[in-house]
Amino acid sequence: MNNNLSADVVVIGAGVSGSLLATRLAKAGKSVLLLESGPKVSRDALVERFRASAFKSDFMSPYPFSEMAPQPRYTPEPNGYLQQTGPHAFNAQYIRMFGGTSWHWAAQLWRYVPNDFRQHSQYGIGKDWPIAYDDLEDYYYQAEVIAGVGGAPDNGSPRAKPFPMDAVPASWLQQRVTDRLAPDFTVLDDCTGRNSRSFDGRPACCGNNNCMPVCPIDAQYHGGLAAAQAEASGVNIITEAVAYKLEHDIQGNIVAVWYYDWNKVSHRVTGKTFVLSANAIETPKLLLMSVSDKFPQGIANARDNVGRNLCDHPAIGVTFDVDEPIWPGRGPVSPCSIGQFRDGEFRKEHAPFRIDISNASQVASVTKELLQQGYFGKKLEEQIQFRAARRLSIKNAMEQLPDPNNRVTLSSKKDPLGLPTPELYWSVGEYEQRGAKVTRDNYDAIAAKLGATNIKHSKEGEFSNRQHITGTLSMGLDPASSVTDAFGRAHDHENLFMVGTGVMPTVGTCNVTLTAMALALRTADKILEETQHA
Amino acid sequence: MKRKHSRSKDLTAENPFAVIDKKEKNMKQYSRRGVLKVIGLVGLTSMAGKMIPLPRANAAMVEPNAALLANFIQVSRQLTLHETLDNTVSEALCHALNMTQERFFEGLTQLKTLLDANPDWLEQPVLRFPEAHVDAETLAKNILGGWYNGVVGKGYKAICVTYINTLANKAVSDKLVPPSFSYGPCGSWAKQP
Repeated sequence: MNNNLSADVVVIGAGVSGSLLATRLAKAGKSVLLLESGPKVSRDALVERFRASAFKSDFMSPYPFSEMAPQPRYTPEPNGYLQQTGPHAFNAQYIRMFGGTSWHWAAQLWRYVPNDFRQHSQYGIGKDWPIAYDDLEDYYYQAEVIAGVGGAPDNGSPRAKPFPMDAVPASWLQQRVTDRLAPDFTVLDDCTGRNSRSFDGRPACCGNNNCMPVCPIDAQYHGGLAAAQAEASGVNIITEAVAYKLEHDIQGNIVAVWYYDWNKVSHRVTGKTFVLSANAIETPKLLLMSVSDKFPQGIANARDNVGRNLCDHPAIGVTFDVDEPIWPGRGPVSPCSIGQFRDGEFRKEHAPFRIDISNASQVASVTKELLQQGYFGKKLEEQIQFRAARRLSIKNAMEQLPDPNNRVTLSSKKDPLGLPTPELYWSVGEYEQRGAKVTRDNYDAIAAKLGATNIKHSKEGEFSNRQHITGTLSMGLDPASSVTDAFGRAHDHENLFMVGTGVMPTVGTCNVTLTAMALALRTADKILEETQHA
Repeated sequence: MKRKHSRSKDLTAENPFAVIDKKEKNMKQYSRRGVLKVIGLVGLTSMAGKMIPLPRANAAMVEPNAALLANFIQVSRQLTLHETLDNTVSEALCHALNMTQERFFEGLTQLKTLLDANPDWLEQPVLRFPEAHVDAETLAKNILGGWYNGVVGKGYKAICVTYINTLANKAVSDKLVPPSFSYGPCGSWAKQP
């Protein structure tokens, strides 16, 4: 056992949120120790793994799996890491690795709309946040500057300053879809951290169409860059360090975190302030594992709120063949979307949503489809050309209301380190089902405007995850219904903070990372303010 | 970095999660050089997206000789209607199919005999073999899958044989490059393909 590790601030989880917070604290002169359960792997190794993979549509396949820091996998078969007990499977994907889950994403960095923060007072449904949009506006901008974000300016989220980056030019697909859906549907550039010019030592996008699962040239921002920046800023990062217990003193302040290295040697790390940023499933797991006589239900869980209100965007999709060649596969994979259903009085009745239009290459999927149908020879190649040119794939990001019954708990199953694996209960409610119906009607209207044939909706009543996991560490003013305060501080533990998407009380209708980044920067400033005064 | 992977073996009997680990460990990545040295081919060769220990996998298999390889190339020509097929990919696919399909060469010989005897089967719009020959139809589709998507085998036995050289990628190469390869300067994809 090693008892000599100590720092002013101990951060657990080297994803984008923890890394940004650690960087800010280190630059302000704090000693910071960052523990990451997974390994450190280079981008070029990940790209090679992608190209060698038999499962290129599985975005987890390039990312190494370790039995010591297991992560959910579904291909070629589900590995059962997440125990499912609810009526709907919460098939979360996340990466336990230096840089975290935003390694495999399309760098979507959206702001919430202002009414997302006052949903209950505005529409009588869901939750209000303990902060308002204006409290976060400057932090949103700070995060956008770090990541180099560009997008359509008039997208429902007011801005005090313009985007720091111009949007990447629209693909032919985006141009045609935008023209043909107007004026009924307004297609906008997505807000993305994708370089349209050289920025931060990284090149401009050159259209590799591989944003997910990994950009081959680092033209888009991701957590691996954030973690590398933390390291360059003087943060002491220890990888392959699996935190398994928080230790507290008689007052309930956290005094140490215990972790196993991958040889199952236990280490104790002391600090003055502790920050959990191990994602919205692994962080509650750590809290629930940290039981003591004083906190028999786990740290920060005196009122049984840890792990509750698990949310994602329960998504439905549609594919069809457009009546003209639009050639998905040229340029970024997720360039544009329809945002007109994100907010409005209808939120009293059904879930709001955003409609994402994919530009991912369809060659592999249509080829598989055609082979299953028995095509061969010249006819096969004609059909590959025809369908790959016309196949459009659309998916929504629909808000799910927080429900305390949807939750993360500990299963009875153990991983090879002897730590319990997460158990999830997830149900998609009537509000979301009504939102799905409206989405589906709009899909049909979109398909009609594009002269679609071969229309295939996702199965009614089934929802896929968008991997925007929120809510399990929900911030709020009332300790009876939340885990942390408005700065991510645990209600019952003065020196314990949480960052990442888990602290977000609601999931909104957009990808959640920018909000998590903004909140992490705000929490970092709060820690600095308090500890400097101290 | 040292790892004590033997730990999971100790846990297998008492820990159901260890079963998962065992499968995942089979996905361990082996060096491409090592695989190619054994198989003697170029191309991307992996099992379940990761490399497998080929010497063990090959232990009980028939090695393709020139005649068997010639059969494979002829059947591939019939199914793809490509008179010229890449020799290196042919050889790699043949090896990979032999690794992932039981009695592959037996099935291949049968398929060749059937196609030679029934040329009209290849004049249909889609492959539809008589009920009695459903296994041959499945094998034909698997061979096509190798050529067009570069992957043979299923589940944990899936092997990626080639990526950029798939016939599907070649079929659209005047408009698209395979994902992870570049179109050129930022915005070069904006014009009509």
